[in-house]
Amino acid sequence: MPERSLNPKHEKGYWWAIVGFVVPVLFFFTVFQIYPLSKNVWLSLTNIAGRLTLGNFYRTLSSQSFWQSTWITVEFSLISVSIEMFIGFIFALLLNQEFRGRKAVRTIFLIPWALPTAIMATGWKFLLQHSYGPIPWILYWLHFVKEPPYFLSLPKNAFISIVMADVWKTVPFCALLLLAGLQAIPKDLYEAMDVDGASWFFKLRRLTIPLMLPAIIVTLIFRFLQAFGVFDLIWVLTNGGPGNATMALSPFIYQQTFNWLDIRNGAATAVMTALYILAIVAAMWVTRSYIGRRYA
Amino acid sequence: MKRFFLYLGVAFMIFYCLFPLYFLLLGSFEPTNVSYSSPPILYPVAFTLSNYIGVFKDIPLSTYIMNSTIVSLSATAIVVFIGAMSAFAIAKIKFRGSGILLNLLLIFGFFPGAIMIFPLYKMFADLHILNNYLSLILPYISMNIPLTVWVLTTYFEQIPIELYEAARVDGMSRFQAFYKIIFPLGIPAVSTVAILDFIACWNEFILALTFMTKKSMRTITVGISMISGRFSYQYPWGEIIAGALLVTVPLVVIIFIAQEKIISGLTAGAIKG
Repeated sequence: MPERSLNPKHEKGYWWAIVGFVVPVLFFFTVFQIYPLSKNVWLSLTNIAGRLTLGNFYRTLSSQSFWQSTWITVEFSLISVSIEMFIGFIFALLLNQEFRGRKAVRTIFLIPWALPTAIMATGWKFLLQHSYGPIPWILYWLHFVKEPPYFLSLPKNAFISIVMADVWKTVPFCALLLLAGLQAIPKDLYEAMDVDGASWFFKLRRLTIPLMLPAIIVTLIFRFLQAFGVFDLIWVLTNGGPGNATMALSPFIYQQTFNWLDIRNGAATAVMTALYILAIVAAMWVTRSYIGRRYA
Repeated sequence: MKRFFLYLGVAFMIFYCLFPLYFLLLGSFEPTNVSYSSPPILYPVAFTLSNYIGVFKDIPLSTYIMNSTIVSLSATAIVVFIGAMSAFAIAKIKFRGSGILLNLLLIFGFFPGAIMIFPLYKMFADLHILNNYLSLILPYISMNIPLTVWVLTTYFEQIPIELYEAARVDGMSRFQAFYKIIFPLGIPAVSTVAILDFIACWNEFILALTFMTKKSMRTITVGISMISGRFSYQYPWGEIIAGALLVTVPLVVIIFIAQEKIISGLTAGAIKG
């Protein structure tokens, strides 16, 4: 064979090979992801007669429930992800120490992550029951509250419940991702700082956190976008209630579409949600490349 | 002193991960009169298997498990194979636009199911495949494409290109080079991704809730969580919890067998940034 054939581009049938290898993925991706999303864009922009209109967006954007859902989603994502990152970071620092049974603890950490969210939510629903669920009573016995609280039937407490269940499930996951970032830091850097007599906190602030930034950012992006689409947890634990107190965007789309059969407004909410996610991705991408430049 | 606080922290972490499971196990083995006592009793006082027997009687649990298994295994097998093909093309044949493709997959991977569920529902209704395994297998394949292609591309890129070139020079076609050389070398990553895909399918909720309207076609995840979701009073809590724990058993088994693989798969992206 002539030497240039080692560059695959000059080989016979190069483009056909690419097509052949990528077509199955492209097919599934187009039919079951791109098409449904485009269809929703179309539905949101037309009326029942099939005419182009902005009416669905007008109704959606002027409805209070849409903005309430947006706010609940943002609040839920911000609060739970901040708590998760904080506790996850502490857990990661602990897991990075040498101790007996470390491998077993890492295995245990996978259990909350692997549980189906819907099943986890079912379990939490039991744990939070007012009269016979353990959590309200434990809080009461520990004197955190004056009487066992109603978790799922009061708006504010229902919100706290979904945050709590989400935090429980995802802290170990965050910790494992952050641990991977921690372990990628070369040990001799710490030794060099020890020689200089640096304090624990100084090492954390000047060495650990800057070097872990990529891992922190990836975990943050990943978790935030996942939390933004929350459905299973809310649908099972609170069903969006009481009232609409925990109706985040995903359950709101579902309710509009399948309970109210208001397909076009559901589609408009779906498109808005997609736009939010694109905006977050864009913002994170800009932030990341900025930080990447600074610490490169 | 430092060791003491370290082990205290470790004990807290273990407690954190396992305390809900303790109460669930407790509730699942208690007779109804105990699990409904108020205030609750936080330690074992009575033992029964009636919840575990009851959950098999009240809901078609074995059917649900079979449905979940069929759907998850089929989707995983297909997505891993076609995902590996694409990853191979991106990593080894290399073509323009592969970067765009990867990023597009990533962004779509972040979109929640709710924003495309109605068009899918309509499509499957028109094709008359609601309440058919296909209505879950097909979208589960596409749902797992981003993760599969990303992890496998990263792995295939580490396999020396010379192996591929040698196979080609020896007269293998590209497809032969893929499934005789690169795919077998990629088995560690392929099995990792297969485990993650399987868990994702097994745990999926919104599509399974919507496309399987017939009770006998439900997956286990939906089947169990809907026992509690549909009634407002008189939850058979003991049975629900017993069912929930039973769903978890296969996942815990997978974790204990493959924990190293799962962690390496999960963190593959985090280190690279």
